[in-house]
Amino acid sequence: MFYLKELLLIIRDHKVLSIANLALLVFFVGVIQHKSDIRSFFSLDSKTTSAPYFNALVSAGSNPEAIARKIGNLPGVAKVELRNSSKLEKEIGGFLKGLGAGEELLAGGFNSFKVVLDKSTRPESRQLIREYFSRLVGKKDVTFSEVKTSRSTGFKASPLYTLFAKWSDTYIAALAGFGWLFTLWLLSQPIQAQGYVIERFQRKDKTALKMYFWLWMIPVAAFFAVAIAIDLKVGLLDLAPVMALLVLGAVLFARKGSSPRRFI
Amino acid sequence: MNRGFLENLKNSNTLRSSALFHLNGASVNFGRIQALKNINLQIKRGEVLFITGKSGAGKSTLLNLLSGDLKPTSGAANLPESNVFISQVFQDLKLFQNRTIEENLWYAFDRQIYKSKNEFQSDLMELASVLGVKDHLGEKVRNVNGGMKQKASMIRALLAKPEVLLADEPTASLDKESSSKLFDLLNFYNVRKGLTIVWATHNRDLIKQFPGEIAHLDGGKLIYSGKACFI
Repeated sequence: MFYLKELLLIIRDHKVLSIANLALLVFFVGVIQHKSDIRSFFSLDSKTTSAPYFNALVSAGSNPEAIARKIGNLPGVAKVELRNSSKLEKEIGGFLKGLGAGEELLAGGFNSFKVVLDKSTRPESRQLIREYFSRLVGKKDVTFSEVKTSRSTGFKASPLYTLFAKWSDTYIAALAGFGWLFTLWLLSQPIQAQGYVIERFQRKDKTALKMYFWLWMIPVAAFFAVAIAIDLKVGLLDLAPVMALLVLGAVLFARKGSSPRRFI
Repeated sequence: MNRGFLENLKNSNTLRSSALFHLNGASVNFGRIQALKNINLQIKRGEVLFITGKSGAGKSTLLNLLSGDLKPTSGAANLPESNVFISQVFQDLKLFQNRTIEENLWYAFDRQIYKSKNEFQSDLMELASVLGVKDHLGEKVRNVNGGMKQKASMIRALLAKPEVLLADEPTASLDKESSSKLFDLLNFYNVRKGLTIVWATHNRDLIKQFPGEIAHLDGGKLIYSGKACFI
């Protein structure tokens, strides 16, 4: 508790730096935990081509939110957009007028959905999704458009972006890691100074290293407490880079306390 | 022959046990600059040693060598065992500027030495009273004058109850009266408690008051080592 108390004094004196250090560690853990999401977000595939989709017009009467939720949960469905039906009704109404058809065709009203599919879904899977949709709302009450296949968005990636996109998660993790190490190096100076004073006037040793232990024990313990509380499955292998970073940080504190050049 | 050998052995053991610090041809270089050159020096338990010399003569470097902060570039520096506690008064004081004097003094509170916080507090108040710091304990270090900071630094070093005190120009910012009080206090610690004191100073008046040893440095060389009265 002695070392924790001393560390809290340093945190009190260096609030911004301490918050930045903690935030970067949390960010680093977040990047490690969501590697695939980050890679897909920055991937060239998602930028250069749009995902396949189809539209569905469903007669009013059924709960559109419930339909969107059920279809959205199907494998191969990226998202379901519930479109503004009043705007569409106006558009279709105008179109029917133009054709000389009566507005009674629209009397019951309808809901419009845009079902965006994963790029990797095969035609058979797409057909199964549509069949499930029909069964869900009733064959008579739904009309589908054709599946619009992937097409170019016109995005042209620079060579630098191509290089970044390929290893985006690694670059971001490395940036967060270096940022964390940099803030740790800045924090290590007051910690070393305090450790030096403690060792000069008390019969203690490796004080800075012990304070560093508490510095990362607090967020790591908090992370595991939250993980347990929300029943989050933590991949221990995923945490290996975090542990490696923490061990690397210990190098800053492992050397025997020598008189700090810059004192607080 | 045998008796002579045993006598020599006994004497050498006595010397070894009484010499806390033993520098044997120790030199310290900072790049191309040779801060200390071939220093041979022994400091015995309970001794008062003044390290004198002009600015840049190597006094602080010698103190840093004795404290273990510096290692000799060549030669040997035999320092006390870890059970001999060395406390320091630094030239740059090393006080936390944004904390109060009292908070800084509490850095000397060691549970291995003091049975309770009350015992420490009582010692703290006694020393603060003697050196006239008592009324300034609640002030932040950055708001007090240099003399007060120096006294605080000395109190912190003494509160640690060391066997050896290394002091680097501890009276530089003190007036005569305060210096005199400090001398009396250190004399008490030396005579009554056997505190070994190594003191780097310019102050010749101080040297006259203590019947100690002197090590005079010039350009990193030890040019005199012996009784202060012979200088």
